Amino acid sequence: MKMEMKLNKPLANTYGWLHVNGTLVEAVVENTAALREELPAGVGVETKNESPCPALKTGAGTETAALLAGVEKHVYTVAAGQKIADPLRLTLDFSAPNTGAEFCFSLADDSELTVILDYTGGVDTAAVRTTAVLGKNARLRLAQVQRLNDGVTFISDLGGSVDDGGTLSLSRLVLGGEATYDGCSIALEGTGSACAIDAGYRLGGTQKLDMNYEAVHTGKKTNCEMRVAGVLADKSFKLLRGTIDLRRGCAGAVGNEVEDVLLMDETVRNQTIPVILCAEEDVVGNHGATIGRLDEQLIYYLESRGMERDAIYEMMARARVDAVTRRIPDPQMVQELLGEEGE
Amino acid sequence: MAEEKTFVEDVDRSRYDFRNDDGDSYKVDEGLTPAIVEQISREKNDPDWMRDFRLKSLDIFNRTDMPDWGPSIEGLNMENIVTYVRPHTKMSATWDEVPAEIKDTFERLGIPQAERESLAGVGAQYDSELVYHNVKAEVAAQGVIYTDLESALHGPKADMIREHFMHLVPPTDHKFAALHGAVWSGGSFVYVPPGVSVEIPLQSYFRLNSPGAGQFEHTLIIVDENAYLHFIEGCSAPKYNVANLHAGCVELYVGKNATLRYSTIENWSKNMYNLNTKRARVEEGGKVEWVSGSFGSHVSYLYPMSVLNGRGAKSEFTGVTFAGAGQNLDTGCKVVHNAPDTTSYVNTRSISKSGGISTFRSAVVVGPKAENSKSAVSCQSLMIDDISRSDTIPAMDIRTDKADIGHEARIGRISDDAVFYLMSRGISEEEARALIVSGFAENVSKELPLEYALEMNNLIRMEMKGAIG
Amino acid sequence: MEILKVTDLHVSVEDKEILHGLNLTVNAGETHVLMGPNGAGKSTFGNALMGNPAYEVTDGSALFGGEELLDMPVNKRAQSGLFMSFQNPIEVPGISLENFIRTALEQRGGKRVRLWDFRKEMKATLQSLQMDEGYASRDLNVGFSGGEKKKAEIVQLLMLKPSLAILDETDSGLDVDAVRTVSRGVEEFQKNKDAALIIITHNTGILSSLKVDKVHVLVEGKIVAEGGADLIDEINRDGFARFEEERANG
Repeated sequence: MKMEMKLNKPLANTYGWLHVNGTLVEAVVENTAALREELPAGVGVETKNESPCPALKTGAGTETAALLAGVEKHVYTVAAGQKIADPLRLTLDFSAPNTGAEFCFSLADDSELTVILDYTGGVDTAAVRTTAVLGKNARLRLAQVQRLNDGVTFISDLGGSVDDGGTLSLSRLVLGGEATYDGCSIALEGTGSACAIDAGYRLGGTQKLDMNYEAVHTGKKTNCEMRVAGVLADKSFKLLRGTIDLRRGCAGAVGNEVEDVLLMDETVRNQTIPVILCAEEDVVGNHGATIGRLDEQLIYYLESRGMERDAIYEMMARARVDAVTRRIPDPQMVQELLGEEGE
Repeated sequence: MAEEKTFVEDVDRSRYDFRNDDGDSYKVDEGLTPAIVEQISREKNDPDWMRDFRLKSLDIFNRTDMPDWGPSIEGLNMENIVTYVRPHTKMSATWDEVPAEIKDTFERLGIPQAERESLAGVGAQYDSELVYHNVKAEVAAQGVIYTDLESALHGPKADMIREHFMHLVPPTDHKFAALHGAVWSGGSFVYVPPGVSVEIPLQSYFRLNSPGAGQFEHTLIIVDENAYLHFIEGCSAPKYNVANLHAGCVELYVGKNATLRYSTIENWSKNMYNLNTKRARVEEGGKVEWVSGSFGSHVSYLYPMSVLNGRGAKSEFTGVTFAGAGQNLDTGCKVVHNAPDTTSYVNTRSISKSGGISTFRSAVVVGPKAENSKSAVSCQSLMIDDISRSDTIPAMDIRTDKADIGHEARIGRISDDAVFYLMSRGISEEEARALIVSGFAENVSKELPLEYALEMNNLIRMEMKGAIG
Repeated sequence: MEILKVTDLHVSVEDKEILHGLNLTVNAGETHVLMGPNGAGKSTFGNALMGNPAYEVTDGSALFGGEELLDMPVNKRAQSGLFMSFQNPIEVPGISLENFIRTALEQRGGKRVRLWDFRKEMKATLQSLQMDEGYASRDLNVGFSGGEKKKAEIVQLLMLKPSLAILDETDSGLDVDAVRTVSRGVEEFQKNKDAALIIITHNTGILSSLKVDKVHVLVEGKIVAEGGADLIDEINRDGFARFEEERANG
């Protein structure tokens, strides 16, 4: 039985006729996805049947917890002061139909970890729910690469909380699948805590990407950088809700959000809802978006060096996604994704 | 000059807060039934089609849900709102014929001075009826029609009105558009013939007086090909404890290569629910320029919309919103690009103070036919203290690759350095902050005629009083 | 050998004619200088030849190696050997200088450029300009200072090896170090006797150390004087006043 959910509900609604106040999704998850784990020394792991941090707000919404109720939950812990140099690589193979996974990363004070989540395969639905709890001055770099099969509906949900001085950095690449619903909600609770969301996508055909990214600033001097860049071709569709929520008491907080969308065909559709909510005086919030084709003077400049217009578009499209790829904190993954370019 | 000075500088809060005894004005029963709507229609001497239109709108109103995305309007109880109030007077052609009590109201608001000073025509609406109307002779001689909508329904442009009335904002648009369709009353009709450029602005002034009254005026402006008009709308209402509702409707039709500038300084009293709908349709090569200052109301939902229907049509929106104590002002704009080579520019500022909530909300839709369109949205918000709130909720929906869409938003506070700098030149902190906020709102004030710009700056100064502490 | 022959070139910008019938012939191995006061139309000339969409050619012809340049799309002009250094080079995020040059070379030659050979040449070019090798991996023009942008243009000039290069105000607003780099690059380019160079400038600083064959003075969209390098000395001394008067008088 498929479950009907309203995912990616933003913190603030807007006009109903835009149909962006959440997205109805029907899906079912029946099995736990096959997991290959490269576990560096110093990282503890435990498997549970209950969600390890059910109270944490996630970007896609509480319904994903119900969707994934039946799958195994992997809890990874790093003890206080432990700085793990090698990345924890988690490769999920979704080749069985309707599979999912749930992860929790718990970093104690002053610890550090890099996690590479790599998703392949997929039949019908694939779903992953991730929670991250960072202690004081903890640092978690979490990169997620989605290269699922054509036709797959992918639901990806994340919730995180960051204590004093901690930093949660997310990299997200959407390269495959048919429809991707990606939610991230990060609670910047500690003084001086920070988060970064660095997302890239390249969509074609009838691919669909529906995102809800939130940074909720409650701690003083908190910082958020949201950067989303992508390319839409053919009949692809993308919706980004990006919300910086500067709550009362977050004095000294800074939130920045930048989006860059390159549109390659006249049949694409792009929706962007960049929201700044602010209930504190001593803050800075910025948002900038550039959507559309390449700048004429840029094309002229590149043409004047002998490049064809199509080649320029292809080069610039690639550059956008490659730039996000290069920032993935794992040379091995970067090399794999950039392929011959890294020769 | 002395008169202009009076008009400009005597604006203070108390000026808007007097009211008249509404004891013997005629009122319909509270609540809204088909019988009431028919009664309104009879009183208005509506043509048959308009009566049917009202009843159909009432039906839509009853079937439509309240909006579920904006500020709370729970304080509004439709059952208790007297929808129609009519002062006992007929239209007057000269100022002298306006009854003394109403005249006194407008004298205090400075309307006749404004007219004498600089305006081509003034239409003032007192509660629901247009009580005073005048267009300077030379404007009328150009063939410009400026009249109240009721009489225009029986005048030479009756067919034109029927073709345009609530075509741009249909009653199905939202619940309060339906309400407006059912009970609309008063308002202005302006027609500018092809090629005519109205050099001085036309002005209308709305005012609500009765407690618990709704105001549902309808403004219909048609600017024909190659014509130009600047229309100024001012609004105010005295304070009452009962919630007041304003659900007006403005429909602007901008013809080929025509330009219409529509300026509003809204200063409704702070118990007003301002659920106004404004929309412009712009044909090939035409341009609509919205200049909008929102200072009053308890709750506002206000998003003037531009539908760019012809090749090369343009829209510019310049707005400022100041939300003080007890105010929740949700303002912004909507633009729909429906044709090639269309452009839209949006430039807004919002200020939140003393617990006020201001929200900038927008939608830019670029349709598949709108090749080579450009849109640039820039919104800035200023937080004056840490008990207020300022939200920015823009949306972009782009359905063509051949477009250039830019958006930027910024939120911040008054810089301590700037205050320090001004204080070091001998200006008090309060004055320094007021100056900085006025400067922040300059995008709008520089677009307004001088006397309005000064009035707006006075409003800001008034709002900024006691901003420290 | 004739490389470029411009005849009666008329160019408009936003419906205003800027060039009113310009004639110019450039032969292989020559270095021409196009001088004139601000607003004379010097950059318009370069941009019209390169095909900037903001500039409309309303009349005239420009034969480049015997072919009509004005009929070609911008990239074909480049592929047939024309190069213009931009006054304000555009920032291209995400594309490194070396990746860009390599892509442009591949587009031009229609075949793959071997990475090893390319890197070697790139390194040598940067060295010859006494530029840091780190430039190669930086995103094209992104965050470059004015001087760095001009240097990156010179790197492209030397790597792409055009038969005709137009340097549009490449020397303006540069510090001494950048001017030296640019001069060095230009000297390097001049070594190829099959290629030619048009230097567009309104000051004479960069020209002192360079071999110049011909000078054209452009005032208000028309060439009012032509001569050898000695014209530069005169302009150095007296400015453009004499030429502006002559233009005004007829």
